[in-house]
Amino acid sequence: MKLVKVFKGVCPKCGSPLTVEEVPGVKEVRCPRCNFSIDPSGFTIDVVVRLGDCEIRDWERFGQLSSTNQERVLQALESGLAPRELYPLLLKLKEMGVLICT
Amino acid sequence: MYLEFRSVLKYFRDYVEASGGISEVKKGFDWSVWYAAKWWLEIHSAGAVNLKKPFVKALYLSLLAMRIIDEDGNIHKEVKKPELPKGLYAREWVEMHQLFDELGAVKVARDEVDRNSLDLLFSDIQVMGWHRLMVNAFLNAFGESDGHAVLEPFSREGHLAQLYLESYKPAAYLGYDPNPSLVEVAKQVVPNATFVAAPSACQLSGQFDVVLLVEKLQWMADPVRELDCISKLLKPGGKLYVAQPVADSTPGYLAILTAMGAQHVYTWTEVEQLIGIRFALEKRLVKTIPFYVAIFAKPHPRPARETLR
Repeated sequence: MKLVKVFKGVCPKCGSPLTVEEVPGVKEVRCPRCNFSIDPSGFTIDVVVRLGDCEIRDWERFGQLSSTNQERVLQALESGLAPRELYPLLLKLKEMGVLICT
Repeated sequence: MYLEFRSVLKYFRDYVEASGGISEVKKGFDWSVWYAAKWWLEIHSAGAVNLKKPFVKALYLSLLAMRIIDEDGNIHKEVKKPELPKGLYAREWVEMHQLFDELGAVKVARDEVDRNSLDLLFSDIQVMGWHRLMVNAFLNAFGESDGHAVLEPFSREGHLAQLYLESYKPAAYLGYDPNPSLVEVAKQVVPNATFVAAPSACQLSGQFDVVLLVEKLQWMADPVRELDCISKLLKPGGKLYVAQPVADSTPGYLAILTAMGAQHVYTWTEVEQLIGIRFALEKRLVKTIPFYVAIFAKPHPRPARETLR
C-alpha cells in the first residue's frame, strides 16, 4: 500500500483526457493514446493510494467503522485505488491487522 | 435543543442541505444530547464519575449547561429518544455516536477501552462526509482567500491541510504536531504542505498571515503559552480562525472528541476569554451550535507615544 502521484490533464496534441501515474525517476509523461511526450508541470497533480493485493482479515474490527467508510474501503479494495484522505484510516487498519496487504 | 438557525443557515447551507434540511440537522443534534445523557447515566450508575477525566468533565459541563443534570450530577430532566433523521449525513452523525456507544462509556471513563479502537474512530470521523462538509463550511465562513502563509497547530493526520489545499492556494502551509508518527502520515497525504514534529509553536519560527484553529484548542496542554507562541508567529493584523466544539455545543460529539485524548474542555465564553488574552475578537460567527466559530486578529503594535517635552 503506497501513495502515488497522478497527473491529470488533457493531451495538448490529441486532446484526450489524461490520468497518468508518476513513475519514480521518469520525468516525462506520455499520452497513452497518441504517445505524445508531455511536460507534466502544467498538469493537476493528485495523490492516490495504490493498494496492491490487500484483504480484510478482521471483520469484527472492520465493523467498528462507520458504514459509509466501510463501503469506501471495500470499493478501494475492489478497484485497487483509494482517495488519499483514506490513507490514514487504511494505515491504521493495516497496523491493527484488520487489513493485510502483500 | 437551541439552534442558532440564522447563523447555521447562513454559514452551513451546504451541510444543512446535504443533511436533508434544518429539521434533520436538529434531529441529529438531539441525538447528541440523548447519547450524552445516556453515557452520563451509565457512568453515574457505575460510580465512575471522575471530573478530572476530560471525557467525564465534558459530559458533566455540557449536560449541566443544558440543565439536564444538576450540580451533583443527578438527572434533572429526562431526555426523550429522538426520531432518527432520514438525511444521509445526519444519519452518519448519529451513527458516529452509536459507534462510540458500542465502545462503552464506562470503559472510556475508566480508561479501560482499547486505545486502537479510539484511534480508529478518530480517523473514521475525519473522513466522514458530515465532518468534511462541516470543516469546508468553516473555511468558507471565515472568508479565506489565496496567497496566505498558513500555520496549522496540531495538524494530526493532515486532513484539514488537505481540505484547505483543495480550495485555496496558500503562499506556504506549515503544520506542526507533537506526534512524529502523525507528522509522517500528514507528509505523505499532503506532499504540497510542510509538516514538522514539534511539541509546541514555541519551537517554530516564521511569519504567518493565518492560523487555523479548527478543533485544536482541546489538544493544547497549556493553551495560554501555546497561544502566546502562536501570536509571536502571526503577523500584526494576521487572522486566527477558530472553530471549537464547546460544552455549550453538541455534548455527545464533544465527549467523543474529548475521549480521543483532549486535555481540556471549554465553554464558549472560556474560549473567547482565553483567545482574547492575546488576540482581538474581530467577528463571532456562531456562539455554540454546531461549534463556537469566530475570527480573531493579532492587534497591530501601538504607535510609540510622543515624548513630552
